[in-house]
Amino acid sequence: MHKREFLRLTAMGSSLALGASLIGTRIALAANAQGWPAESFAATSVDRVLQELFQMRDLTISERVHVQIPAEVDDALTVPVSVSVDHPMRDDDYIARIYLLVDHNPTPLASIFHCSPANGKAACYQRIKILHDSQVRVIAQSNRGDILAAKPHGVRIRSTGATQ
Amino acid sequence: MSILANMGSRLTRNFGEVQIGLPKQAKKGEIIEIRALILHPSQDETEGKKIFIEEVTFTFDGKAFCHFDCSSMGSANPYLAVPLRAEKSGLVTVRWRNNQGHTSSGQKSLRVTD
Repeated sequence: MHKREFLRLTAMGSSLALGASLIGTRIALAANAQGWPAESFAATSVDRVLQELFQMRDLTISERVHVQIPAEVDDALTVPVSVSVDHPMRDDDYIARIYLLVDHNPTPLASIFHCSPANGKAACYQRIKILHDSQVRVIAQSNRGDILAAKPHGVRIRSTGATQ
Repeated sequence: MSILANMGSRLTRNFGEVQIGLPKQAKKGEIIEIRALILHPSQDETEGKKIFIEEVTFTFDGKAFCHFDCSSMGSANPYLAVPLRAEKSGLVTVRWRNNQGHTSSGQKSLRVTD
């Protein structure tokens, strides 16, 4: 009887362990954010963010930054954004950061993608919230400090009240 | 509706899970796409308790090669894709950290042929 009970427990234990390894997650507490740019994310106007990040330097519009984003969306909470930059990714000359900003979001700075020559090309895909009709800006910065900005893209949120 | 409800409970159950998509194998020098889906909510204070992913790091064999810093304007269940120049076989790890300091990760092997 004892043995059977033990076996049952062991089986339960191992299936739990298996479940855990399948899920592949171990929630742990990490050390506090290092390098996460709290001030840039705290800014509530796009001018503030640009001031914070680029000291309002002229952002030259470049044809080399390609942004794919729908002009109209139904789901404001899941808007796909795909970015690629025509730029070498050599050890001495590469795109180091790609900034994504949404002018009329409460937090205009949506994300900063940090990349490296190991990526092979400067590109990323992500999904963001765009809560109001807004311009979306993508700005790439090389390791040498060169700034390449995409022409801002307008995104319109279709009315979601279509229950009929 | 029930599909959505089921999906919702599935997402809740697997909080923090990271699913990684890689090509089955890659040729040396080829630039491949790594996709990562993280099951995690994204809310700012107007939506209740503020919880969102602040950072997602991609590493290959223990070496970080790119990462995202994100605000609460990232979508719930972030779906990200990044390129990687495949030089050798190894282990791809995607690790996230949220604004409450929780962290978790997923891994997948990449096989590179000459």
